[in-house]
Amino acid sequence: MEPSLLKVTDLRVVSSGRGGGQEIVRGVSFEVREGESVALVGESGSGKSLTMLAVMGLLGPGLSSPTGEVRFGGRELREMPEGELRQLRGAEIAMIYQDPMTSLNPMMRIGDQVAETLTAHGTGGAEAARRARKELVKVGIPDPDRTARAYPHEFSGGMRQRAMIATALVTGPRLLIADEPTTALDVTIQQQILALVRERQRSDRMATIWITHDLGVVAQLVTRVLVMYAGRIVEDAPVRELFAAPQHPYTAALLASLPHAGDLVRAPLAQIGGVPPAPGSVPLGCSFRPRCPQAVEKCLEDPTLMPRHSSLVACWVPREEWTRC
Amino acid sequence: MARRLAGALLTLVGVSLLVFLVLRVIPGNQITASLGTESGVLTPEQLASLKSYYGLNQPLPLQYLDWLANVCTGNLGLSLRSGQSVSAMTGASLPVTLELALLATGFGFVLGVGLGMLSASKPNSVRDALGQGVGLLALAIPSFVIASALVSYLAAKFGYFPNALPYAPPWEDPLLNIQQLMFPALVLGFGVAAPVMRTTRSAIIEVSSLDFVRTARGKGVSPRQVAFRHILRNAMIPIVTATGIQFGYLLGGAVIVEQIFALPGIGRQVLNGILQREYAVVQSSVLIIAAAFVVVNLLVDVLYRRIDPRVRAD
Amino acid sequence: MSEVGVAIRLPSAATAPTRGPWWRRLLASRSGTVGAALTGVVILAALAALAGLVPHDPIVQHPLDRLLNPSWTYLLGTDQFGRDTLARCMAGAAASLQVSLLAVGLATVVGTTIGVIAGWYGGWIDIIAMRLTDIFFAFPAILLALTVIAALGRGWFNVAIAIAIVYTPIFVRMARAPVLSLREAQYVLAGRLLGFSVPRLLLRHVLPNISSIVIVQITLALSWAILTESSLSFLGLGQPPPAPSLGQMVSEAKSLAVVAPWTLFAPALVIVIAVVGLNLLGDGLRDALDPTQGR
Repeated sequence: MEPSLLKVTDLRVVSSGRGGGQEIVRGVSFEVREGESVALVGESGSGKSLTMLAVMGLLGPGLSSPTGEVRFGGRELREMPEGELRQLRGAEIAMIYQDPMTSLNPMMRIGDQVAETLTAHGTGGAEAARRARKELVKVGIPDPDRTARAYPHEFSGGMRQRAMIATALVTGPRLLIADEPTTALDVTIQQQILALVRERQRSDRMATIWITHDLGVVAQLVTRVLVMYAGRIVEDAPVRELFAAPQHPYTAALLASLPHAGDLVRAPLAQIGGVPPAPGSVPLGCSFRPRCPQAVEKCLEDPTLMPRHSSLVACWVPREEWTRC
Repeated sequence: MARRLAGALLTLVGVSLLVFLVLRVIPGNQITASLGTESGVLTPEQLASLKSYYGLNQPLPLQYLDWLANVCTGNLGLSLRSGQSVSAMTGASLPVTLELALLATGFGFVLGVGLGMLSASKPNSVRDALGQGVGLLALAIPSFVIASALVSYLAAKFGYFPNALPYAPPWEDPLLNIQQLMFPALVLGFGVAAPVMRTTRSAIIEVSSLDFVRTARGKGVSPRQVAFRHILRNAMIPIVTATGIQFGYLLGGAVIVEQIFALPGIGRQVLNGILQREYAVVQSSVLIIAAAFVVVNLLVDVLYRRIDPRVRAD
Repeated sequence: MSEVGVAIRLPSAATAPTRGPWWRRLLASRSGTVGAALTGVVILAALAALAGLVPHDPIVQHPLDRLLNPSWTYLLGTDQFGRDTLARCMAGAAASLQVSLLAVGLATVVGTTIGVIAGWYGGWIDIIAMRLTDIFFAFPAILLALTVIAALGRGWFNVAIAIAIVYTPIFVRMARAPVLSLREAQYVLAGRLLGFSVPRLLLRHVLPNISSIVIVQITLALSWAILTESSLSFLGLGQPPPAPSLGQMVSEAKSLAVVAPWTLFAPALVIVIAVVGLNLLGDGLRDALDPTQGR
């Protein structure tokens, strides 16, 4: 087995909003190995993006991470001074985002933005420009010289996303965090971008964490899936096992809606009824209990992740004992 | 672009109409009277030129057109007292105001952006309150108060009043020139700094929350580079626009400071014209200042379009 | 005039704010409280002056008491004619406020009316109104005021007219914007369908919803008016002496500032307090009257 690259233990994120802190991410633990590709799946509000932003130390104002451990390549990130952490960002851990139009500086040329990742980590200007251009080629941009001199608004969404990927990969990071990179794109372009990242992942042997709400997309990309609900991981399973026999009722519900491709937010949960709990109003015990068709008395006790077959599940009721399936 | 020029031109025409109409409120015989009694200094040709400028004894619309024709051919009227043509007077006074406005705007820009960056670095903190407080004071303390206090103290306590000497253009005596313009520019600069600070603060706060700033941080870019290359560069557009507009305001708005520091600028020209009932001087000078203001606004518009690559394609 | 100051946001289509909460909300914000306090002080001083509750007559000279330092008899000292500075400041404040209120009152009524009509009817009326305001905006404010004074002559009434003329276009623009959107609001459309007359619609439905914007703008306009009034009287274009006027007091004090600094700083301080107070009050009102608006 490959060595562990990223190990997150009991990570929490609270928002210091009005009326006191509300826990949005309520104790998340998982591990990603070198070269492994993992999906972090959940609906909007489940805390998936915030988890990864906390890992990178990029939480915005009003958000903080009071507890938790984050070990990257054996080093504890949360005890690192900001200067050291900054050296990791961009160079070893890179992130790409959902909307390439707003995520690129509209007043900076694309080539400069790609090169900036290199110059921020000590590469000289001319060398950085050269490597930036090479990277633009590697992400499949047809006219790299013209593109490098141009501004983001001059291009389509797909091209901009390629440019953003170039920005992230130019330093050859060991871990790429992709936060819904295809949600804002047309379906045909989506496939191209996914293929691009998958290819680079293979050739660069880069670990990837895909944040998404779309299980369908995930199937072709990853070897393992982490399912998040209400700020916790409820299932951590290899992808084949997850699709064949999901161990958590929530995962089962998500899968049940897959034939209706695209956004899962409304479909399955309309079948169950109700909505995920808002941060700060999470029910006692299992957070899914109010909507779970398999709930039993034991569910009033908060389940932690427990091994079941080849997965980790936060549920007291094994799949074999499910009724009303 | 052509549309913008046409709009500016239309505004200019409107401005000339307004200036003309406002000063026509003055009873006509006052002007005639002034031409009669105080016209001793003028030669018959000059008198005729002035009469033509005023276009008296004609129906109002013709007066306006006559006046416009005069202005466009360079006859801006004459001063009864000195016999000087207004165009000559303006040729000497406008550069003074321009230099003053440039210096004041430069100072105000630096101060305003600096304070704005300070305030925005930690919104709703003590730092922020301080920056905003200074900005509010700069707005609230009238320029004539600061200017008066400065002049009094410098002159009386330190015997320092370079403005008592006749005004020295920069090409004649640059050292004296700077001394004469330094304090007036400072006083006016505070007035410029206040709105620039407000614009800077809100622009920076807004830009800081945009996605690409997070992207830059995620790439490991140093906070300094993030602040300048990403945040400030994108915040510059509204800041430059606001600064340019302030510069335009100073062209006519510096009159009080010009008066206190005895600078022969165009604002003072208007004021003296009012006090001495030189209607031609007032009419033409106001027109010129307003026209310059329109031109400055147009230039600011063009400038902002040049800075923003998204609009440059236009 | 660099500060129009108000970000124009449309209040919710619900009923106009009720009397109860708004002043409490105002006092809840720091700027609102300080602003209200400062403005209150100036208003009280002015009212006292108008009522004659001054320590000494502002115009009467005391030739034996010239240029005295502040003392118990003359709380802010005396000027070069032996006139009580405090009394003159209070009277000057009263004069400034009167001129400013008249000017802003005129500008509000005329400007808001034109703005609402332009926004409501649109079309040619709107285009002409906008073009006209463009032309007025092409003048630096003080210059426009000076031009009006040039035509009308000096004196407090003409100063008020000048300030009103400068500020009317601002009210036009400020009133017009929300009307454009309000015109299409659900409840207004309903009213039009039901055949309500235009004046009724405007008065009962449109006006109350722009009232908070107008009120905030009034306070900001007042602060600018006080600045301008004192600037114009500083230049000698206001009410001729011996009428007390803050701007003129500063002008007269220029030569005295070193020997008798209070003669300059007292009237200056009154101006600053009034302007700062009104500005902060405007900020506080903006937050208090429209809670949907964030900072």
